[in-house]
Amino acid sequence: MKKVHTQRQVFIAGTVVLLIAAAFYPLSDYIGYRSVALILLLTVSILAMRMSLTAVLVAAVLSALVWDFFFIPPHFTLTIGSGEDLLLIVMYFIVAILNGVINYRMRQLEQVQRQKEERDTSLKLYNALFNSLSHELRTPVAAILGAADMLQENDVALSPGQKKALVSEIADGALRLSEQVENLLSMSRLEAGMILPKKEWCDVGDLLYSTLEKLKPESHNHPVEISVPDDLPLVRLDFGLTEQVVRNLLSNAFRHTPAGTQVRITAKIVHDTAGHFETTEQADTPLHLVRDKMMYRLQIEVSDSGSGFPPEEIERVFGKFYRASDTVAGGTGLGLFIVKGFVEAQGGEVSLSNQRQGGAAFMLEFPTQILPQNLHAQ
Amino acid sequence: MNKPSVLVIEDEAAIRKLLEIALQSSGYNCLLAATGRDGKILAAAQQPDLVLLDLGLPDGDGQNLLQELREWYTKPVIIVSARSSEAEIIQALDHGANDYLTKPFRTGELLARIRSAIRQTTNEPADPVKIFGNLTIDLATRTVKKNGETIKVTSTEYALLALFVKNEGRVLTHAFILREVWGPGYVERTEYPRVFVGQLRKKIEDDPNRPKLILTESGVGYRFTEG
Repeated sequence: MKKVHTQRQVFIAGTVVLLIAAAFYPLSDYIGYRSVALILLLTVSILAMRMSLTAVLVAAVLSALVWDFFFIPPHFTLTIGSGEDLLLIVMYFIVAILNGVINYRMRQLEQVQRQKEERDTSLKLYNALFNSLSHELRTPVAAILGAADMLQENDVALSPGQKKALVSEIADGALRLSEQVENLLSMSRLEAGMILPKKEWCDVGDLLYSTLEKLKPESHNHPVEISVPDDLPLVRLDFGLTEQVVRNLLSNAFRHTPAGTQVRITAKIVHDTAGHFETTEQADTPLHLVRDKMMYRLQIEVSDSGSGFPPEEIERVFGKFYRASDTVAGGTGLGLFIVKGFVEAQGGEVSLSNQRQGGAAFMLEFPTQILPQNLHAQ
Repeated sequence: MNKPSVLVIEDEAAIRKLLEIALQSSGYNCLLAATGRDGKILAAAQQPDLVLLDLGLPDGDGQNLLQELREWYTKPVIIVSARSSEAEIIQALDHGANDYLTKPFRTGELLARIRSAIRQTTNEPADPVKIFGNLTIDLATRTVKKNGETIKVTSTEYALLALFVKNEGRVLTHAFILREVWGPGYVERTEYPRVFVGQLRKKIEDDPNRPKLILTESGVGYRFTEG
């Protein structure tokens, strides 16, 4: 691979030198053959800025030979007439090669420097992410261990109320930990490419309502309004993955908006038509577009009337370990990363925008088949 | 009356200990097995009222054990499995498991499932009239009443409802429902149960969007509960 690359570069460098030489050949009588040497030297220097070392060396040798053969009198021989010209060509050769080598070395140094900088930035980013993740994992573990120790060692001294508080501390910590572990497992499944959607006919209304029902304990008094058209046809989706997506978006809204904030989910089917051209008899319109194929997309929008996302962060929210900069709520920053992964695994897309009237709106779009509604009651 | 007995087949000592405490404190006689082999021997010797089976056993596949058990053991089997293994759960249900729980599960949920599964087997099966809240289904006359008024159901809807009623509390997979209601040739028509469960919910549920009778088990199937 690299060899081919080098060969191509050598070829290009050689061609450029020959083209420049050919272009200035008719002019050499006017500008003098020694000026041509400077022009060729400039050519080699420019090549040295982009090309590999081998290509530059080839260009240097080739240009020296070409100059000698075509420009130094006597023409069309490699013989050099005067001592001055001999000195000139030796100097030319040394300068051309030095030029190439120095340029090449500088580029190498630059590259090393750039790699080092990139590594430093990604290391810094990784450290920040790792710190927040390890904090999120260690906090519940600390709470669980601490509470369990208290119960084990001070059993007699604790009041029933205190014991109850410690036990609920353990339960809360374990729940939090369990959520983080699920997220981390989902993330590693995504990264290993192990998410293989199993598309089946799904009742979207059923999916949304049953997901919400399971999330009730976490809803913290957020009223949720679901609007699904009564006649929404069945669509082909992976129920489990889509449920997880809706779940993550909902718990995100619950967690990051004040209690009592309205959350809305709407679902609808939109369609485009695709078609093909057919030939016709008419001479003026020999091709006729037949729109005979409907392409359906399921759109699910999850929106809230909270304060929305800072506009400069919208692009980053689906990144791994993203956490809102002003957030006080917990979370590993994996929820939205998993949303994007699970949606895209099904061939869909997810986007985020702030609504004009305030609040964030996540739009999910899945290309899907729909079930023709000819299944009448039997 | 004798205490009902539950056999726990689970390789993790910590979970075994926890289940033992939970079951004993709720009035069950608890039998413990750490391997599938011990589990099989205990099940045969003690004839427990319910088996709680962890699918991830070290000696051989939990699925195989389930199939072997099902050759002679007719009482309820509840499966415990890691989350995100829908396919495994569906397979176990098709091999005759009555219900499933995914780890991590809550003890309260587990005990409720065990209670409900044991109750089903001790239920008086002779009475053809089943009552679930404001819904009455008479399996003898094939009539369905809601709040005392007869509701019209199509023959397919009735077949589906009767299947649910006869398997109250049990998780029914889409494939099982298709085989039982439409026949073995229809196992691929996964749209049928969705459409007909939707229709049935509109007729029998108080709020079809928040069903209390026919519950959706995500990616697996449905469960009929007493509401």
